[in-house]
Amino acid sequence: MSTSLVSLELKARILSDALPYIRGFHGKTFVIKYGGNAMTEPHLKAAFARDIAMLRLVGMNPIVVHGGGPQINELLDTLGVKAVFRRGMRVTDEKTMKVVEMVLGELNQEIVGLINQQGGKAVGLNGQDAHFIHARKMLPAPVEGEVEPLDLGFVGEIERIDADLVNNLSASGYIPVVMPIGVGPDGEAYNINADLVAGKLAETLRAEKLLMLTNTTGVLDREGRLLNSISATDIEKFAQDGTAHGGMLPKLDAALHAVRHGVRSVHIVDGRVPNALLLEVLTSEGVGTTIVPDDAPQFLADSRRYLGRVEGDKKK
Amino acid sequence: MDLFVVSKSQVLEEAGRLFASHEGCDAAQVAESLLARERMGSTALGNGFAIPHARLKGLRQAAAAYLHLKFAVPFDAPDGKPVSEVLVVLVPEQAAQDHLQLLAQAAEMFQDRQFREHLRDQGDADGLYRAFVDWPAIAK
Repeated sequence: MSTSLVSLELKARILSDALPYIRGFHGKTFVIKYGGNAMTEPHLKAAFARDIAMLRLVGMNPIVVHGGGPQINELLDTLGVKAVFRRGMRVTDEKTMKVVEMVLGELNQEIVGLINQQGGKAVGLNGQDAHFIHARKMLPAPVEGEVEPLDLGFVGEIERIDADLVNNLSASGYIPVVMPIGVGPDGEAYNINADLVAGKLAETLRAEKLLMLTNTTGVLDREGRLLNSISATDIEKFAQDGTAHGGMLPKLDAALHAVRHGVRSVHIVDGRVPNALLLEVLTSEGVGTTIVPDDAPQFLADSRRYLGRVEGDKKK
Repeated sequence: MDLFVVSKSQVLEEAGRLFASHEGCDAAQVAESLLARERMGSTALGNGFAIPHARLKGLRQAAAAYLHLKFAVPFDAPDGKPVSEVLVVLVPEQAAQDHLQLLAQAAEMFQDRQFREHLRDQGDADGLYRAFVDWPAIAK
């Protein structure tokens, strides 16, 4: 009897505690980069879909961008497509591009289906739809000893994103689920890094948050301790001094660009924690690292200004 | 204490009343000074914590109070999250800049997740006071 009373009280408390978060983020846009284990393990997939449906149903505007990394390589191997590497990057020839589009399309529909099973109204999108992702062929500049820029085949970079389609869908209660395919002026489809698509989309929509699901606890310092909150300037420092490396670099690059162009905060979220999104958005302690712009309220700098200013005024 | 308020300005007003009854400050003056600092940028740090602070005429030495809000309130935090844990700090008008170190230390404490969770777990004022005194040990 008493335990059920306690648990009722606790349940009510937890639900009630979510109100200020729901109120604060009502009508706000969140771009979520979906990838890693959260996209391959069944129980994490289901939890992710529930989180997205829930955020939408309590009044927020989640927009999902997903990649396809491991699944694409698996199918290429199964089909025996030979990989050609240039400067350590895989070349996407026509055959590879077909496989990329196939895998991404299938994943996209799976994610849409999972969200819809939880009561959301998800819609799958490809940069081709209404030509909303304008891309161009990525041509890394030639290095020493080379004359031509590097040709990686159908690998693209984003020229710009038209926000209309996603905005209209979001405003009508739909949840856009975007795969990272862009279209060039010639009508050619290009494969684009999903972190970059998510970052650029968040920027174009001036999103409240960009949330990137990863297979790490977050951004770590040199001693391996999790950093709770860092600024755009910190990121530049970490990239230079080697604190951040490997797969974290493109994520931090996208994060840096996003917070410098109107996104209020970026969160590197540990996607291996079930319901990581709900915890990140609806509770005080998230699971990962928060990245804020340099012009966010800077507690100490503002305090120094405040304490200094009043004294300065007195001297006059 | 579990304080029931619904906005940031109410938090600052309550802080004014608290310092009025314990330190003999002028409640309205405290609230106004705190608000003046907030106008220069929110003192919320993220993860539900904030350190509103102000210089106050006639104050002999720095004073602080910790408020736990029953429900979190909007506070323009960098992470957009509402605030439920509030450390209010008042410093004397003279040599106010010397107290920047004090604020820096408090901000550093609240950067530590373990310490934040420890504070939230405290049920009474004694526990809270001990948490601040024992901080170096908890941080380790």
